[in-house]
Amino acid sequence: MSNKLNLTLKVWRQESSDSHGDFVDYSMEGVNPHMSFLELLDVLNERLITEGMDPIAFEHDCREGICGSCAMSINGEAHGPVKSTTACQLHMFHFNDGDTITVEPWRAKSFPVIKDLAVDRSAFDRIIQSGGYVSVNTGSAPDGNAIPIDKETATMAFDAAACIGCGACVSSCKNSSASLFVSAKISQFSKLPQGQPEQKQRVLSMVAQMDKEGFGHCTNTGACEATCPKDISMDNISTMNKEYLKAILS
Amino acid sequence: MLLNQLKVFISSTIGKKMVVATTGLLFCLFLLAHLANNFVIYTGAENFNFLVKSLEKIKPLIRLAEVMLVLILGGHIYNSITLALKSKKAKGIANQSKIDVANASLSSRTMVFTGSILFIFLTVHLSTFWYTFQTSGRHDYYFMVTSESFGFGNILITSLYLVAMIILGFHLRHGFQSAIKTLGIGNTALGKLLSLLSVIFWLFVPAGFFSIAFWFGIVKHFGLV
Ligand code: HEM
Ligand code: FES
Repeated sequence: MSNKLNLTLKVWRQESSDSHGDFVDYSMEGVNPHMSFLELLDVLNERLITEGMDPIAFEHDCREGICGSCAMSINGEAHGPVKSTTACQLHMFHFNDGDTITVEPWRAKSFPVIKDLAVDRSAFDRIIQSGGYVSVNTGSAPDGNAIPIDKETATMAFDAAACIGCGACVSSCKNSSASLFVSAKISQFSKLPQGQPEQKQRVLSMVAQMDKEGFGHCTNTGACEATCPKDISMDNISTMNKEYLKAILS
Repeated sequence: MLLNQLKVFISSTIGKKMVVATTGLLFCLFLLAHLANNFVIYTGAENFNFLVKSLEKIKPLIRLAEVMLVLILGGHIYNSITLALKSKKAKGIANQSKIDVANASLSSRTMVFTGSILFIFLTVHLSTFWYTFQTSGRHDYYFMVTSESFGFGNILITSLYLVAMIILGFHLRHGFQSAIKTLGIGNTALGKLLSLLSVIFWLFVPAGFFSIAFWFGIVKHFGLV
């Protein structure tokens, strides 16, 4: 028995990476509050296509909060105002009738806009390629209890591994720092035995690539942690720094 | 090999930030010692003059400490500003829509601003107190501190000191605990203990300096007691 919403959407429209962008207003009537934010954009796009206009480009894939594609800032916050939620899992009942909602792409030099809300996040791929993997042969799946790992450590590694690489941390950070992302990727391996053999080179390479991509430094403001849809902890950044220092000194 | 590694370290954002953190913390230790000295002024002109004069006797040591402090502060400012400039470039276009919640503390977002005010303060502080202490040839330090020309007899100077100490508190409110995280010990027992102790540095130390300027520049100057 939910009431339909009438909303004004202010969406960032930008033809290409080197063209000038601006907000365009769209009024939307009778919005079903059970729609997700991406479904709202779908509805708007269908209308735009019917009217012979250019639909809004935005990235999406799983629509269940696990792939990290739905990168967009909603009312100035990465993935919108609801904590621990991706834009695809953000439902319209969190908004009020009559609201004006602003939607814009991630803001960072290293994430150039491709079109409208879609940005090029391949900088993250290159950071992963530089060392965010385990290449030692770990054989076929061993017995689960063969390598004892205490619960706390396992949980920390799992929590770090929950990062979906969406880039919200970079966009929320005043410095456009990728520290939360890179540190989660470093931590998830550094906590576990399988990550140890390549630990030193991994940390050095990933940090070097992060700097090369032009991301800023970490001021520990905490904006990343506050807006991360997967609640990645800033403790990982401290872990990354420690591992980096160890790698430099060893 | 190690030299190469150090070159990599000092040109990385993490390495630079660790220099900012280390130098910031070292400067905090200096402030603690500086404040302990200053508190002697509450015990009267004679004790204060005697204390500063006895520092003259260990002049070479003081000079060495001064050179180290200049290096520490130089390293702090150079690296923090280099990082700030790099990160400003990294943002490109800022977020266009205003967030109605602050996801980060005010003190953490204003480190460049508060740092710059501290720099202005230090310039004034050194070109007045430090310079005159060195060059006046007199040993009436208490008189200089309370003088009208550049001491707490001058309400403008007093105001600058009062404001600067609030700003210092702000800088260290974020800075001290942030430095602990930067150095990679944020998750350890030591790090947690140091974060608890951070109140000494961001509250008590600035408040101590503030009290001296307030006592001599406001309370005594305007004859409130
Ligand atoms: C004199 C001029 C100063 C300037 C221009 C300055 C500038 C800065 C800046 C911009 C940062 C933030 C770095 C970042 O973005 O993370 C910073 C951090 C810091 N500053 Fe200063 N600062 C100054 C003086 C001081 C003083 C006098 C102290 C200590 C008594 C101090 C202690 C710290 C500490 C502990 C940090 C935190 C480092 C970290 O987050 O890891 N600063 N400073
Ligand atoms: S579309 Fe996959 S996380 Fe949102």
